[in-house]
Amino acid sequence: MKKLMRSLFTIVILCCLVFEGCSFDKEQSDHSVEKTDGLIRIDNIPEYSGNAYIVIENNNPSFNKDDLTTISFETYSELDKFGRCGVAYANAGRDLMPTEKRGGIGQVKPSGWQTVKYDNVDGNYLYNRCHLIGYQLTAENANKKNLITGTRYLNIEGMLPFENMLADYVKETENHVLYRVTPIFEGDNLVASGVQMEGYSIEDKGAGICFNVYAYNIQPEIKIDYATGKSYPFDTMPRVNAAAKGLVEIRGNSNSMIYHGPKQSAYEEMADSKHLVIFHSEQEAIDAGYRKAKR
Amino acid sequence: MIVIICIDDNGGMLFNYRRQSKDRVLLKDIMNYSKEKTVYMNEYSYELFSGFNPKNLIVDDKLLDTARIGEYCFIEDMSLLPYEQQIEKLIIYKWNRRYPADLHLDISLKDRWKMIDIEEFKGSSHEKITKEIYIR
Repeated sequence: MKKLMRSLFTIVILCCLVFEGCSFDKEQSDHSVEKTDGLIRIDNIPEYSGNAYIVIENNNPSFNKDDLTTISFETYSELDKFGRCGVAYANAGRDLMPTEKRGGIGQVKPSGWQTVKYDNVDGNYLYNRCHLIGYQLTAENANKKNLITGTRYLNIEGMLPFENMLADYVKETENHVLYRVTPIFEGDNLVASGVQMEGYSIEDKGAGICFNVYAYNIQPEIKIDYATGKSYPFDTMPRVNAAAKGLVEIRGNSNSMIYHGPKQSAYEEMADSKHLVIFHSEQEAIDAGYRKAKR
Repeated sequence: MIVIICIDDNGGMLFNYRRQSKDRVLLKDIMNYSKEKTVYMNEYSYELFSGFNPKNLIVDDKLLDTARIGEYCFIEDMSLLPYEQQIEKLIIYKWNRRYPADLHLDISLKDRWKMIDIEEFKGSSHEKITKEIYIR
């Protein structure tokens, strides 16, 4: 749980070249990404605020120039020592698309997998075996290098819309789309915090498809321990137990190093923050280097 | 004016200045429906119809200001709300898919619009496209 509440995390993604080819002049709301010598650093991914995905890098993906080809391919990373998936990368073409319906994938247990049901989750199951590269694009069925533990929300609201857009574009145009999905794990966590998805249509130089987004692996109203995959209904989290024991819960923001008491304005907002650190007294927060919020 | 748009399950129209999807059968349906009538569209949309050799299509970036009663406007990347009073009929093609979106249909159909016709057809790359026609 401590890791879950840790402060902002930094994601470093190796890339060889940053495209500028599909940027538009119009202003667009996005989240800045530092670039230094071929490295992309995504600092301070904003907390989930109601949108299943956010635009990063002004929607410009970072692909290797050598991959701008009209030959389809698909690659999947080896699992790491924790059994976690890495980058899945494809040049999606019509020839990779499935010719038959998807088979069962229940035999795969991605890292952090838990079978758990909630009444307030669409379909009841909190977790889906989320394809990094969707089945409709490369027909990968029960490939353990392509399946992560993802919430229903990530699967349906975060990833599926982009897979649909790619798949329908490829079917309609017979063009190719470079598509890379990078699961983002914080520290040794077994469950990804989210996924970065990048897409770029080859033949029309990004005129049809061009995006770079981060989708949150969250489920509204459910608290997830990303270290283990365990989950809790939001209202029965430890803070309730603390209240039952007569303890005060002080909510610290490890990003700003500010703490909030129960009667302060941002106290409720902090409950679902990924920067949340819980203290049981103000002194405990102060001792940890936090200062009290002004309002 | 009669406005033609395409939307996804969430009323989305566009993402990152790009249309969410396209379909040759849908384009043919628009051409057949509008027939001889003038159809206005902007430069971005016009490239979609380049294979049809259309004589009734007019490129006009201020199409919503230009179009008159009975004339068609094919809209992909504009807000309709400021022009709602000038729209006499809405033709909405639904992809029956969920796509990413950062521009949505901003007219509330529930409030002032009545559906008078609906039909479904299979597209070239979409299993089912629904065409709905609304009037005030």
